[in-house]
Amino acid sequence: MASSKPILEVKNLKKWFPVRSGFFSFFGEQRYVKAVDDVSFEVPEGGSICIVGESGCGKTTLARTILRLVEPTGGEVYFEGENIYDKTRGELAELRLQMQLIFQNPFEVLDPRLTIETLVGEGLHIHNLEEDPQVVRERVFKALEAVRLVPARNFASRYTHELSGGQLQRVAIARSLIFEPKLVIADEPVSMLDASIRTEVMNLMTDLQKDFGHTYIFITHDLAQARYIGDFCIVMYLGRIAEMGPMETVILDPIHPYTKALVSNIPVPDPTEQRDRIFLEGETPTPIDLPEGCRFKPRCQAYSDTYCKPEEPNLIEVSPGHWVACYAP
Amino acid sequence: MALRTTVGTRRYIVNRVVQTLIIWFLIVTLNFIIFRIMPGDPRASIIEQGMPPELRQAIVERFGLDKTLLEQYVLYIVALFQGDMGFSFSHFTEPVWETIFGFRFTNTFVLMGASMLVAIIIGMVMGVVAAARRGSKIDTGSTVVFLVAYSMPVFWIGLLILLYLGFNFGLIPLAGTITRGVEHANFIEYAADYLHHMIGPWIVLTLSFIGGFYLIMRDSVLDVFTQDYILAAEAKGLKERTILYGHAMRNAMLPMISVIAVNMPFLISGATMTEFVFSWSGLGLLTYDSVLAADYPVLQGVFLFLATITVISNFIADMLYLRLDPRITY
Amino acid sequence: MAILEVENLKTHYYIGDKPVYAVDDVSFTIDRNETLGLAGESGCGKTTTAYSILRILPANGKIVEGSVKLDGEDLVTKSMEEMRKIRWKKASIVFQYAMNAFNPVLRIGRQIVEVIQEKEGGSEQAAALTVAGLFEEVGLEPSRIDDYPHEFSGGMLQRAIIAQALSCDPRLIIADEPVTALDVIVQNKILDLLRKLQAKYNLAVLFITHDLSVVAENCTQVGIMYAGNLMELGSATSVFKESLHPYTYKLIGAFPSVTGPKRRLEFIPGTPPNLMKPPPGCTFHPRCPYAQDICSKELPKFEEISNGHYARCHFAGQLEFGGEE
Repeated sequence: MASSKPILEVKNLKKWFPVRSGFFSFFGEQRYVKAVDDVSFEVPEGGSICIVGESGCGKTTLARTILRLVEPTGGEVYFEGENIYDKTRGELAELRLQMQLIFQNPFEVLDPRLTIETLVGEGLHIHNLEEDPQVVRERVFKALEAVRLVPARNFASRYTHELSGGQLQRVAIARSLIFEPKLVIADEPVSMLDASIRTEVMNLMTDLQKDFGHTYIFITHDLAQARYIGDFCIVMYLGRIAEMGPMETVILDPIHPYTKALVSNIPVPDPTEQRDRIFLEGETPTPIDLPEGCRFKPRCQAYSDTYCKPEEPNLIEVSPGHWVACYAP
Repeated sequence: MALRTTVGTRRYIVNRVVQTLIIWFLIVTLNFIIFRIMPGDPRASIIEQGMPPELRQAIVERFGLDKTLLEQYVLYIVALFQGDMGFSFSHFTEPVWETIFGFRFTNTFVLMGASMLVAIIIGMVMGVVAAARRGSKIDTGSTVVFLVAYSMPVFWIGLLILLYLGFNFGLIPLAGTITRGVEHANFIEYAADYLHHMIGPWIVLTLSFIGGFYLIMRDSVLDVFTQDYILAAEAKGLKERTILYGHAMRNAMLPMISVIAVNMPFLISGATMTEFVFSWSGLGLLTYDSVLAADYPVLQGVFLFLATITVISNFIADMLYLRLDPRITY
Repeated sequence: MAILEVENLKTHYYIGDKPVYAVDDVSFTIDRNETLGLAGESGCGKTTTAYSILRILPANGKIVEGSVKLDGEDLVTKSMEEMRKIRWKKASIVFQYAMNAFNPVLRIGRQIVEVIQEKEGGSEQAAALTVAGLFEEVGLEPSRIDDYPHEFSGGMLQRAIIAQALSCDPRLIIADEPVTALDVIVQNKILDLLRKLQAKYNLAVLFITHDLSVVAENCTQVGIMYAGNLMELGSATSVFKESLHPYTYKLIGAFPSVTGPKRRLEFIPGTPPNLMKPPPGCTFHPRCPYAQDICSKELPKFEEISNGHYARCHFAGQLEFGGEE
């Protein structure tokens, strides 16, 4: 990590979605899907953080709430020391240029009727950052070259259907990087891509970080991918952080029973390797009507009345930078 | 299969009933306002030049036009709930209720019902068959035929049918719902005569409806065919008939239901032209005559009736959805 | 004797008159109690191969050459009606998106009963009893037989799909990306279930996936496809540990692992070819770091290089991987 100063601080962030139940829902108690439930962490500048978890663990909602694409139910998010929930609409629009989001499916993000040049450069017009078409073109070409779509001139005049999935995702990256953001949040950026192309995009993203110096938050369901691309890992379960710490520590030496189970279940591309799987009872439920205390309790193998307390466990630093929310010794 | 009566579903149905009533009430109000802000004085059609002022005054009082708008509105609502929609200007001050719901409603109902039923059945079955044989002669042929029928002006087909079937070959009567001046010995004879008169307008209406139903069904089935469960059904080696009618048709019917419900008033008003051409004494013809005669009370009644039909058919569509699609739970 | 023998299978799609060479000369066999993992990237022809076996190709797809023998019977020459009767009776398929493989407006039990009655005859009650037994076997509550698909979770649906696949006692199960849509923990439970049932019923399984990690852990035999061709075929250990084809080597190297030291991942520059105009010679040569002149001129033969280990490469067995670049 380049520096220890956090670029982003998330404090007790909550995002609860009310469960819709029709016109007469004011009778009876309002229930919530607690998609993000009291999450706190820091992102050091220049770091590359991975938020991992199964579908429905709240990782995508967390990313959206951090960007204030949805309003939080509670908590604060400080970007470079300033709470983004205190910002006005105008200030927020400016701030968002510094915090870019890259989506999973570039086909859905990029308008097929526009040329690559327009797609990459339009943001500069929209935000009135650059008027001179010559300068815009230069910046577009530079961005395309940065994501190795060379010669940029050839790609600039093409349309999305003329490009492969991997190339399109690079266009999406160029589109974000043209603002030279400080933080890039990438939601499953390579999940749609084939394996042989995936590495290229992941390597590119890592290289770009060296050149541009931005910070990454990756959202992914794939721990193996996370290990390749990130240096810090946050494991979420039902809207809460179960464990977080340096990537290699979390992957190779997990402490939380959920992380252990998750890691043990990741398939490994080697038929000769024999691994012990940790079997988890049932499937991950939706975060409505959660159990009292630890939300992993019903499926936990380490659960014991002797040390597990009735209240929700907090994150405890077990070794420098390695936090675990579990009572088990 | 009964309606799934979970607490949520029951609450949804109650919600929907309340909603329907509120919407209906708004329409009733709107119906009142529209006829008050329309240009032209409804009195003009009854009050003639040279009438003594006392008579004029009496007419104004008779229709309550001397009262304030609010009072008129309250009167209107109260009367409406008593089934009193006022008196027709042009039909010898017959009550509007009777003008609409006497024989005219029955005539339209029978004609519409028969045409819709046949159009929906043929349209759906042909839609499924055409989709299953996409690109075949059956598909192309029926699409062309139904499209042509769909796009031909109703009055033109009507006139052609009158000319050939009626005038040239004498197969069908030229006008009306029954033969005038004939005493029917019994109901069967009466019904036969009535149906004989209905053939012309029935053909025209069925032809004009069928294309729409056919196209929606064909599209909808084609859409269902792209779903994985159809491929799965094929992989399971089910018979084509089972796949088509057991799996595809049921799912494809869902969009059909809402289309029919939303288009109900258009279908009814589309019948106006047909009724006019064949002098079929129904609501369509009544609307036409009332417009010409500036018969405001009747028009108001007809509009209210159409709006009510729309609201009710939408409610029925929602209930059908609830029954046909288990994914909808509340 | 092998349950499934696919020989020189060629399946093309037609866009107008122009063929798309979706599957071009694919041969493999699967024995009872054996799992062949057919892996490759999107568009490599693995799913088309599966659909060719059951002959559920879309209208513009056609098997132009080769044979598919199931229990010794050639399926390619069967009429559509004969084929319809064979489907599910002898071979069934598990689709990727279990959520969509059941008709959403019909009860799950009803849908399985329907296929049992179609294939085996018998009363509805008898079929329902069979379904209840199957539910128990795949770990579902028999009482949920009357549920609708949307009332099941993803994992439960995949179990129901497996119950349905077993319902008519097939010899072969084709699993087309059976766990791709599931989270890893559920994924492994489903794969365990599949393995258990395979052993119990002596099933041959054709396992289709893009995820080589899943192949490594679940298949005894592995076939790697690229651009319609089967590039390499052999036991899982030999294909992963002694890869013969450069594509296999690179593709395996592109999968990250959560065990062992962190290593650099491989990638393959370029994109797969347009199958309407496949390159001359070896279809992989434009992206192959070892390509020589011959590779762009002659299509290499699919040959047995060592015992039971086949490859389609001019230099199979002569290349040293890992040292280049």
